[in-house]
Amino acid sequence: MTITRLARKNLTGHAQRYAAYFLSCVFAVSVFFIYAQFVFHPDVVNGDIRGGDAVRTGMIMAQVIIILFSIFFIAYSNRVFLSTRSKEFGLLSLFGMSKRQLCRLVYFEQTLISVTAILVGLGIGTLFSKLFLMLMSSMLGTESPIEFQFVLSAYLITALGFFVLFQVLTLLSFWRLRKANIQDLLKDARKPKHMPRFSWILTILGLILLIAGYMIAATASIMLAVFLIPPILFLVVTGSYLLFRQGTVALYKKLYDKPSLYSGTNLVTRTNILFRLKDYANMLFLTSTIIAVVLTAGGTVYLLFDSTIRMATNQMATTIAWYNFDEDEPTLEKETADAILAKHDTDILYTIDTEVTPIDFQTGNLETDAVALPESAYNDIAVDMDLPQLNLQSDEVFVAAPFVQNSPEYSLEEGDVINVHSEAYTVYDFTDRPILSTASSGWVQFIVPDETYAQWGSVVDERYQAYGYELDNWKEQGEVSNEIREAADSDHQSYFVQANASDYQMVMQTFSLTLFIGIFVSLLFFIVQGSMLYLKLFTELEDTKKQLLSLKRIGLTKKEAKKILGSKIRFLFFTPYLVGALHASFAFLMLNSMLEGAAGSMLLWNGLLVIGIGALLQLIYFFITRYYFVRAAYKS
Amino acid sequence: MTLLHVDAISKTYYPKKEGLSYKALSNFNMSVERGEFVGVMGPSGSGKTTLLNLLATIDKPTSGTFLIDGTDPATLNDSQLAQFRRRQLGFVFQDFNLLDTLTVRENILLPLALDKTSHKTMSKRLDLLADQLGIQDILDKRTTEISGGQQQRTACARAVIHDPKIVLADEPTGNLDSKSARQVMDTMTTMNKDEGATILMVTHDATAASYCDRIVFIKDGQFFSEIRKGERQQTFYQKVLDTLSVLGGDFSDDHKTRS
Repeated sequence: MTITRLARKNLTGHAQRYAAYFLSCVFAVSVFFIYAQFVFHPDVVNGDIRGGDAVRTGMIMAQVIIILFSIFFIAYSNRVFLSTRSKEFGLLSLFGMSKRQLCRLVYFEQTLISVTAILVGLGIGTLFSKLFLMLMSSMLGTESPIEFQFVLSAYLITALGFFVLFQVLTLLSFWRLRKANIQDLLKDARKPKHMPRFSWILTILGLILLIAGYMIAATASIMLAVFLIPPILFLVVTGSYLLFRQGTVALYKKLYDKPSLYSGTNLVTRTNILFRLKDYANMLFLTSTIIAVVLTAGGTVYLLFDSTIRMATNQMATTIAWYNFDEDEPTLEKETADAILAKHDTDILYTIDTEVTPIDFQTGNLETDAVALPESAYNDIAVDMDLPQLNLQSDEVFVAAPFVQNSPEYSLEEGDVINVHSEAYTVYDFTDRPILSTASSGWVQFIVPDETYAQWGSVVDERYQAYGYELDNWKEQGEVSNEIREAADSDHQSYFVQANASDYQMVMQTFSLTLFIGIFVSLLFFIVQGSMLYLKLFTELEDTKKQLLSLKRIGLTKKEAKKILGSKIRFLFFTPYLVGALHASFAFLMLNSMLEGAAGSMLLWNGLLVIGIGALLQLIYFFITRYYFVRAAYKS
Repeated sequence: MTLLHVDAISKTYYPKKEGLSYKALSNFNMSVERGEFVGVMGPSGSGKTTLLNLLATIDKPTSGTFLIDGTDPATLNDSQLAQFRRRQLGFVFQDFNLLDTLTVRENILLPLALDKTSHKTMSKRLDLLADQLGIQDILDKRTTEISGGQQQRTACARAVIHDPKIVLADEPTGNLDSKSARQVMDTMTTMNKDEGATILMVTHDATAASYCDRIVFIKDGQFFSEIRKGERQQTFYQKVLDTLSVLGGDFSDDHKTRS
């Protein structure tokens, strides 16, 4: 029997042990390759695809994350495999196998797995590339779909990259093998010998750190949030590490002392977990952190886009809005817009066509410009917009300014005094709902009595014409909005024409693209953390079988045996998930206070949705693992 | 009163693919009275372990039936069988069969815990038993911290904690040195005499066998002979040795190779 043959036998004989690791590697390679297909696609590289560059950058970042994560996962798995096989290595050494031969054996095994994983990954990647490119094309709205091609560089980079990665990590893992001597190897280190010890001080410290981190996160103000993130991360990560190392033991010892221990299978399930807790702690900590990262990232993307959309749309007065600053050189003729709208047969809810005057004003720290609108014109618009009618005193101003509220260094509130042309006026009320276009000086809009307006206008002697169209079903009006925008005189830059639907659709497109790219990476993270749990479980297969046989001989029903296995797998899968979800919840809470109000109650739902989807995935992985593990444990 | 009644059981092993079938037990009869301590001896391959597996309900006979206190295990389904094993039978194995995550106390209480017996009953029963078998001092130790003899005595305590109908012992001294073996046999005698446990023990060891009330010898899957203990253990031991020499077969060899 040659070493290569022995390596092959080892793999096929322990197929179940390697299954999850292998599949995770295949998935990582496939996702990396599919991204590479897009990144290195000639159409994308040549810049033929609109928006392709931004997506390309996003994908390259995703690929970097995949590589970093793969390094972590592969190194972790190698370590687990080697340590569970120490007895086997001890025996082989005893029979006269040299360290060199042992390393060669491991090297052959690892190379065989990795090369197979790369090949299968590339195969699956190739199969799904076309579908992926089609989806990308439709999301980017390209005229013709991105053609599927065999992009050689994508194959080469994926294959070579992962091959080098696997090789380096395998060679590094030999370092562990070198120092071990036969006696240490033969000793079965996995057997629980003593009641695990723990320290109350460290447990309480862990709890305090975690709670402190959570408290800071929950109460963080928008100003400090950015500076608070590193200390919060430190507190939460250290705290949960200590809790996993110490707190779980404390908790299980508590359960251990309860009389309910001697009721049914509890005696077996609880002691099984208790005596392996020290062994589990690191893994539970790692998996819970991965889950927290995935959930937080998922929730944040969701939330940020949600608030971006809200902010973008709330800061628009109407579906389409613009100013003509100069009558002789209009940004966009009203007739042009009307013609385009008529051509598309668009339902117009109401239109705005009114005159405003630009002014300079000063209040507190703020010294800037604004547009002023006479009260009578506002009251006409207010009927359409369903806003309250105004009846201002001569020294009062009604302020509509979405941006001012969002800039904390400035503020305008009811009762504030503002100065225009060296005269003082009082803010009657403030709203962040704009009436007119917010472009140019329109970012602050004053509504003043007609007399004040005439007075201000006479000083400046400059008038803008403000236009606005509110369209029915505005979210769907992207096409007509774009056309109106493009019709704007090129000298006056089309961005002076605010088109709600265009912005909305652009944000939505970016959102769905980010989500689309992010989903695969998140899925990879999820699968890997599940695989780590699976791996751990299968390294205990022999011990589990032995225990089940012992129990079966003294009369344990199959149902009870399943219960024993199930409760252990449940513990391994859902403890990290619960902790991860808790971390993520506090992250959402912090995010909520950072975004303040804008996201509002949506946060809760988004967060719950992400956590719920994650829980469902974890549940599926749990069922699959339980099925295979129970089956393997019963196979003699 | 007859507790175990074995009526003409046979067990034939059929190879999965091709090959000759092998008759491990044929038309075997025996019975055990309540409170009796019976040994089963025979050369290797004589069908001792097959017999014990059948009685332990781990295996099913090809033909014939047996009754344990009036119950025919063949009429029970898998889950009922497991419960039957747990409640009506007690086991002592050569490899002790203790769980290494549990302490001695927990290992002993395991059969009661699985049946959700009340806490009070459990501790009362345990105290009494530990006292009788002389294992009070090691109750809170883990199985990895005690000697082989102590482990086997723990297993003995577990075998009788739930007052089983019959205790089945498979080479209980097979893994022990002679001193530990004697202690374990003393324990089993105590179980038999003081606890009134009915014991059926399969063994190779003539010394261990000499603790029994009666020994049944098997050869080639069939009943060979039976001897009863008289007044003195020493003469009984001599009779065992005599029968073994008549029986033939490699006793000493196979004692070593068995694990």
